[in-house]
Amino acid sequence: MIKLNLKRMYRNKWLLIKMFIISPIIKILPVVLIQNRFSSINDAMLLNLCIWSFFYFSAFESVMMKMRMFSSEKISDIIISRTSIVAYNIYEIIALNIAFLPSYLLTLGLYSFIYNLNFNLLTLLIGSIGTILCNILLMNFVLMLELRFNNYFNKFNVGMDFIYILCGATYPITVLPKSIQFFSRIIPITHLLQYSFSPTGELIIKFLLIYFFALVICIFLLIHQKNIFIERGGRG
Amino acid sequence: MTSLKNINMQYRGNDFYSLKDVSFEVTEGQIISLIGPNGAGKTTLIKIMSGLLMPTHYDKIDICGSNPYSKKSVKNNIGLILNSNQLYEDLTVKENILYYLVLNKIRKTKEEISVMLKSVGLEKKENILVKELSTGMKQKLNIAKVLLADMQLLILDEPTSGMDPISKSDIYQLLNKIKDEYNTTIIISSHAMNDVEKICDSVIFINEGKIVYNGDLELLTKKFNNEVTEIYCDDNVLNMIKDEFEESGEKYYVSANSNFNKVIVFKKMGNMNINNYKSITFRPLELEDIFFFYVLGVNKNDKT
Repeated sequence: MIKLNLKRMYRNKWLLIKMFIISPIIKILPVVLIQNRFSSINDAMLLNLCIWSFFYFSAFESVMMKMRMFSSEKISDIIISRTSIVAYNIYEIIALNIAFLPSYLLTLGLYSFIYNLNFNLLTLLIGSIGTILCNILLMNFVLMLELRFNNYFNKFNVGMDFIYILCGATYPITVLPKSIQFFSRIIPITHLLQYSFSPTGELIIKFLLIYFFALVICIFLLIHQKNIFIERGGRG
Repeated sequence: MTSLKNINMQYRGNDFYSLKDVSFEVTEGQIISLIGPNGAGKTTLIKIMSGLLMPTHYDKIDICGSNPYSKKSVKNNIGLILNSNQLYEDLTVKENILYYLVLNKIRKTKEEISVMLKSVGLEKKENILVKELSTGMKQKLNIAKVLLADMQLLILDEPTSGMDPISKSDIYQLLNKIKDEYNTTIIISSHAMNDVEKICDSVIFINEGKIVYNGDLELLTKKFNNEVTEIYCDDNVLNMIKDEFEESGEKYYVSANSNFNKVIVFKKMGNMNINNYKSITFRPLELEDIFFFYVLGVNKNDKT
């Protein structure tokens, strides 16, 4: 199923434009230029930007795919099929993340070449795997919300902008007010992004603990919401 | 065998039942037409049968040996083809079939897929993207993928909606072929009664959440004359016609609009002495006539 999902994605030319033009040029380049204007861009900053862009665009596309799935009743085939909704969602997200990987790595390579940066390969690897894990979590949450609110969940962009501020994509979260930092710390991707600023084992453990706790809750809510969806016949 | 007993459905927030005490049985290998006006409860019934909507109350749901709402249920025996695009436009015909098979954890060889595509007339389209197919071809593909997944019950909601007459005829021929070759039970929900009457073994008329007729189509049509008279007239003439037919014991129903009444009489009236009507036509009996007779007859007793 991952292979077939990948074929679907690579045949979508708009997705390719998002991956190879919008993500590296429109989303990342302005921030890189501004950062470089005030203090020279460093590897941690660039890695954070690329991870965020990878996370944001793959999550955004996954939301779009889910909206299309709901509007075309493909959701019916999935709900009555022999594949669980959680498994289906994971297959789709993994395919989407694999599809986005070349763009992410290419962007990272290109900017590091331009600005002459050297990445720690372990940090890069952990950052990439962690991003895919975060996407799995976020997209299970999004599917749960879609099942609950049908296509009313079009406010995804706004939600992502809040996460962008809270998780400290381009700065350490210590610059945020203390009362806000609590909310930052319960978002798993915050710890992943902070890891690229200061790669310590402690941050990885924190990330994994919060991540798996959130994932278990999310899967439970998704299955529960699917049952409610069936009880109400798709009416939120 | 598929059997439903006392299905009741009341959507949250509604003060009425969308389905009330619906019960029926379907024998294996039959084609059943589910006929009713918009809002009659057809789609609700289809969703309940396919496991997409849990009824508010039911006594029994047995869909080809399993209850989709039971925790022990081994889903899925049902191929659901809704009146919307369930195919992936960016995948080819063959890839769409594979996607559906993987989703339902079923393995089929390349040869089996090719044979099925040939059987539905898509053998030359195997590697064509679905977005390049016509509506009729897409529907054939929907049917092919469900058959390949060995589904015992095929439910189609408005299967020929938006199709030209040739494509419609193709789809109905295909459904007939499937019934004979695969012994698949088929339930068709449709407004196009005159199309489905050619292929269905029995019909279920549903109106306002209740089954108003369930039975053999042949037996049903025998209850009526083969010819009907269709008269357009105003209220004054209608009253005269009413008396005339009541005296002769003829069955008729009336469909009224603001200016004229359409009176359908189930017999060719050659010797009518009524001259003051707008138009009168004689034509063969259609399923639609029987349906409206039942719908209007059950709900508006004064009109029959």
